[in-house]
Amino acid sequence: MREGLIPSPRGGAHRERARRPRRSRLLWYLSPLVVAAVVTVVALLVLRPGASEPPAGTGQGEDAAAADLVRWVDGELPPETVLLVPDDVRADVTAAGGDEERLRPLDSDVSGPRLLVLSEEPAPGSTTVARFAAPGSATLTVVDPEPGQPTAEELDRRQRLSAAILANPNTGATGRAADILQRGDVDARLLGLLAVLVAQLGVGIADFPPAAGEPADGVLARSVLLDRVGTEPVADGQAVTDRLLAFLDAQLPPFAPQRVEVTDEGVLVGFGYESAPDALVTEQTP
Amino acid sequence: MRRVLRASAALLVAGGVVAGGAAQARASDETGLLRLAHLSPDTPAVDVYVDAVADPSARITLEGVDYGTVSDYQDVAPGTYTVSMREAGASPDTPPVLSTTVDVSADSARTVAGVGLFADLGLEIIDDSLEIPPSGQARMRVLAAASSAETLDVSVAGGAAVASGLAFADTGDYVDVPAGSTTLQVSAGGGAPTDLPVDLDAGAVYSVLVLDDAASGLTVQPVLDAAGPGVTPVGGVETGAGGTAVSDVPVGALVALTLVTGGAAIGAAAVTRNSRSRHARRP
Repeated sequence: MREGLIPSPRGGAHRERARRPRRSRLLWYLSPLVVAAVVTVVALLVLRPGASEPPAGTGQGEDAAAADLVRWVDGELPPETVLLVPDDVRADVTAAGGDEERLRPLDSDVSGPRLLVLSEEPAPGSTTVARFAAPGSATLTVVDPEPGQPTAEELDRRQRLSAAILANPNTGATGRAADILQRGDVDARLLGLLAVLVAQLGVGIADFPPAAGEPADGVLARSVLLDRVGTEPVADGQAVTDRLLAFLDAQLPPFAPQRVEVTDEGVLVGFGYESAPDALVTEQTP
Repeated sequence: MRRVLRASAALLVAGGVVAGGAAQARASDETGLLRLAHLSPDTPAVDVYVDAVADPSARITLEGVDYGTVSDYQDVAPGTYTVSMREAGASPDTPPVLSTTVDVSADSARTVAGVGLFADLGLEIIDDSLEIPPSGQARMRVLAAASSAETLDVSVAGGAAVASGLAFADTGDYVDVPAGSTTLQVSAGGGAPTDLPVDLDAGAVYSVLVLDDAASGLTVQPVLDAAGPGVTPVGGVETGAGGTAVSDVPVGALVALTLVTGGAAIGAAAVTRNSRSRHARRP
């Protein structure tokens, strides 16, 4: 059958048959090398850290960026925040599971909190809140069109509160976490919560991890990883962890966190994005 | 028809300034003064915790703070404090709720006050004057804490107005008035004034609380801010651990303070909290 596929009036089939023994021998000699190479490649792919997960900040498929945006919106935005999205992007975001109710055309008249989603580079001076890029997808940039500006008094309060938290011997913040506190680059709601946690429970501050897609610097930290209460590490099922969770659960706006998650590294506490967190705290507390 | 209770006038006449048995202490250049006031008529009593953010050993606990209470000043180290609270009598396992943070600087005096009605409770940080008035004068201001009076007018008979059209939950400015025996004229909502005799010590500074009383009227309660040059009422507040507090917390040199407020939050929060989504994954 196979021979019949390459008939040739000029004896091509014969030549093909005549070459087979030599090629078979070649394959015979090369096959172990091919198998070894395949095994090596597969092993490297399997053993590579995080190989089973998509890279942070990216998804899979043509709408990966849109899917990442949807995940970010679900985890990082308060329910009342609306997204103004270009028509050519809206379909992708909706297809990726985005809530149609909060996806509005760019020219919508929205009185409440809103962010822009752009598929083009934002205008100079814009505040980029998050950015999502993936092969085959347009880069989606979330922009705050009217970021709140803290007053001098609010900035001063943040600085003093940060300094007091750092001065508490239980805090134990080092490296990047200490740098962020020293700069006072922490959302005022999270800062207030940290102040009372440090003062009353003596929590340890391990890090201020940014959400996937968000820049590590240039925006206020809204999430914190707490790894200790006093001298005891927090871990799933520990009494000290339950005490911390109960404390967090009892807090009220504006100091009530949007997300509380027990991880292998500690308890992750996060607040949703607000344009003017300082003003929010000032409005509800002196 | 609102009435100002004569009973409160008697307190004034007797010089019964609310200082709660406070000691007279001289304010230090190295510490600040902090006190708290519960001025929310329908807010339940609360336990209040004041903690120094930088010093884990510094805590003040005030238990059962209810409407009309103004604590004595507490001498505190300069720094940042958190003020948290929970409903009085709640289980010790109930975590306190953060209400606010307050900065205290040296040689300053502040009052943290819970004001307004429970449904709209607010916390105010009020700067208090420790400056001594001119010779022969006393200084006073009005804190409008009576929900039955939308506005208040307070004046010294034959003298200057102390407060004009002061809205509920607001704090008036300090006004210097002649010291000695005099009469305060208090009217609610532009109604007929009621005369209240008072004795004002020369060189003293007062905050005059106008409160709802149980009989749907008003009552007036003067609070001493400063009794003379550098002398303020200090101390007298129960301190110690309560609720979930760690026992044997040193209260010493520092600390103190406190305040006010309202448990405000405790109920109001139950409503507001539901408006915010919380994605808590618990073990």
